[in-house]
Amino acid sequence: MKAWVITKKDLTLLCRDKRALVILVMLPLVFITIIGLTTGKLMGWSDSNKIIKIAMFDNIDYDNIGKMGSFLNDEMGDSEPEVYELEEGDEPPSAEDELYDEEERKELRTVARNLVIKIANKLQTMKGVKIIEVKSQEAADQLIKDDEVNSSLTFGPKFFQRFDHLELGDVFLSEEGRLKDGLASLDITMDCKQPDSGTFSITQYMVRANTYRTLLSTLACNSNFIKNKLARKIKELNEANPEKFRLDPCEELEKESKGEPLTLAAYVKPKTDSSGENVYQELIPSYTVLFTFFLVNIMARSFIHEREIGTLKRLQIAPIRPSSLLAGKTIPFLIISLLQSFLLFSCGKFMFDMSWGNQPFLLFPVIFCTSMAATSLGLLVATFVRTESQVSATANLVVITMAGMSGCFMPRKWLPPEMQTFSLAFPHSWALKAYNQLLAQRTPDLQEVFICCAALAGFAMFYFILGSVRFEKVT
Amino acid sequence: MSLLEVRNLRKSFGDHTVVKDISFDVEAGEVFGLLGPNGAGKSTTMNMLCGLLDKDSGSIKLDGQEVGSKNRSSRTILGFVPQDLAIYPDLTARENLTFFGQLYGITGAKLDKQIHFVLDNVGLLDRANDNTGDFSGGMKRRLNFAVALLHEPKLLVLDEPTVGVDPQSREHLLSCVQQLNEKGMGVIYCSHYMEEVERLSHRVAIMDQGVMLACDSIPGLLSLLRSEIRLFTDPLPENISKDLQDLAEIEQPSEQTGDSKKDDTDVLVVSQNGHINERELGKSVCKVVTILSQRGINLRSIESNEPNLEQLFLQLTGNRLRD
Repeated sequence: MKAWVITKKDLTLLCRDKRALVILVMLPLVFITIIGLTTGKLMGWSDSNKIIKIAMFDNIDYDNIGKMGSFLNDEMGDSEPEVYELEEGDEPPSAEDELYDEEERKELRTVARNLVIKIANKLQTMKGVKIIEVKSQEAADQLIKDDEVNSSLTFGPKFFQRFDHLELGDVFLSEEGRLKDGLASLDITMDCKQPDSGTFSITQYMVRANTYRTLLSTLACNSNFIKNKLARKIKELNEANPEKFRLDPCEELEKESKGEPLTLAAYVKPKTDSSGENVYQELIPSYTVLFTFFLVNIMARSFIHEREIGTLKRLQIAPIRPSSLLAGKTIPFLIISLLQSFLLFSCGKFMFDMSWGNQPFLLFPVIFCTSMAATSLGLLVATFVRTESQVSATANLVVITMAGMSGCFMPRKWLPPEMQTFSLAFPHSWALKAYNQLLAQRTPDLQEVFICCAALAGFAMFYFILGSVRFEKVT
Repeated sequence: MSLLEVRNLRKSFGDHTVVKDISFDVEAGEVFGLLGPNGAGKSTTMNMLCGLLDKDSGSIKLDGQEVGSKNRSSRTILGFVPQDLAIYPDLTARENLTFFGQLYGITGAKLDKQIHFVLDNVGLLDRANDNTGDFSGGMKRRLNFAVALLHEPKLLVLDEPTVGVDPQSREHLLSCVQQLNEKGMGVIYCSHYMEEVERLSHRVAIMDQGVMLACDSIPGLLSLLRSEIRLFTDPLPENISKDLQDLAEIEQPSEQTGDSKKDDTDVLVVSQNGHINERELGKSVCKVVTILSQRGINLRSIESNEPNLEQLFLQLTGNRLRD
């Protein structure tokens, strides 16, 4: 009862102490927000950074499509180029000679554009790839320079001519035929800041695979044999299952060529799974643990303040047991600590889209045990320091060192194995281990969570007993 | 049975004995002054009386209960006004009193009544809901005093309660102590202001180096000092000394100092020990004056040197500076 009187008084004082509230509540929130915003990208945690962004420039020479020029000066590696012999009296062909009428040429331009769009859309259907179409090569280069995209993809002026030359076999024997130079064979170029990087190699591979896939389906329709076989198959399927009606892809292709060109599909952000793999998933528990232990500072200050203003003496003279006095001085900080953790986790969930894991109720014992360990450590430190400057020096040193060594400032898994083992001497490590199980694992290891809670409770008991003995001694 | 009985109280810190077998009693309704230079052992004694420190040997009984750091029941009948302020500056006067009252187990209407009573007593009723951080030094002292009265203690221990207080607040505090004492409260009053101790105390103890040098009523203590009246006269004839020898001493010229030293003046010193012999001293002076008059010797001036507590204090504890 008398402990509660002291607790009530200290809670009132804490609520009136703006500095304490700022340190305990505002500071962690500001820290989490800033660190999340600034280092999330750096650490490769943020979703936007995981996306491979490609600036696409369609530089196809549409004006030349369907003209003789598209067949002249072709640098494509044709092993046996076709030779046309001019008959007597014929004028040699000029590049401007039109091979098709305007309607046909329009269809060809649509086919060319649709090929580009289909390749882009196919790439974009892959999770984590975003295509940004630009109007010039300079614009694409600028985006690379500004780190807005990872790489550029340019469909050169001769892309369609090269495609037009292709036969089905070239795609199957891509190492030898007209496609032996890969994307360059199709006048497709790619660029990035670090051409030797693995990301760029994978991107190139993705583009090549999707390009060949797109070309293949178009080229297949040029073969009557395949076209007929495909038509029969589609007919059979539609007869067997009339409810699920399928269109003939070759007919569809033909229809597309007569219509308006396709458009680039909008990028759809992939949904994150329940484990909520985002930067705050690691930041919130780390900084919650760090700032929970900042209570040590506030608590030590409270004891020193009580001693400095003489009220500690008055409390000791009052008819209350030392254990009630200690409990009364410790409980308010435990309450504040629990509220602080709850607030930070709530902010994490509602402001930063953090997940509380699959078993959120298990967070409470971890929060409780961590807060107990922090307040008990606060009591112990309070018995060692005599002045405010000692608090600033000692408490901050103890708290920041413990937090740093335990992995509150960076993911614990980044610590060297020896340091991970050594840091188990500090309660922070156990709290972080428990949070890692509950927040980062799909199926938390409950035994490990229990061990962590037990370790935290052990730390709390050890610090409290030592603190009580020291308190009795120094007062 | 006395309200407070202290017997052979002893306390050492390492090899240094701070309190050496002191004994005294304080009765209900008595103000007991405790004097001593810095380092005399007063604070240690008071800390032991309040149960903050454990004694090495001896006994302290407050209202029949042994006082010690483990025995908390006796603390409900003890009020302590520490020298340093012991109030929360971020709480209002009422909140401070409510908190300390609840610590002593007072709640509800009784607590409200007591708070009203003590605030009225120390003249802070109209400032009850103000933050004490905004109070003047005197107001803080008065609230510091009020906290100790809240639980109606039988024994009030005051340690330098008027340090740094303006004369009005000081007068108010002293009046309060007197009123409480008149109502039967025992008081231990520790101060360096001799006139306060002299005004309030029924009995006074003087401590130095852990030893109680004297403990008595004020007249009793002052009787330890000589009270003297110096009569400055024309030069005395040779034969007169015989007539006066039982009544006064003739001070030798070498003993004359300051203003009293005059080449053509003789000094007669009539002295007695302490105030209790004041009447005797007056009679002696009258006799001396009569003899001088009969012999036609001019009495030029009279100087009185009455003993006081400060003289006694300095006589007992010496003039050596203390840490």
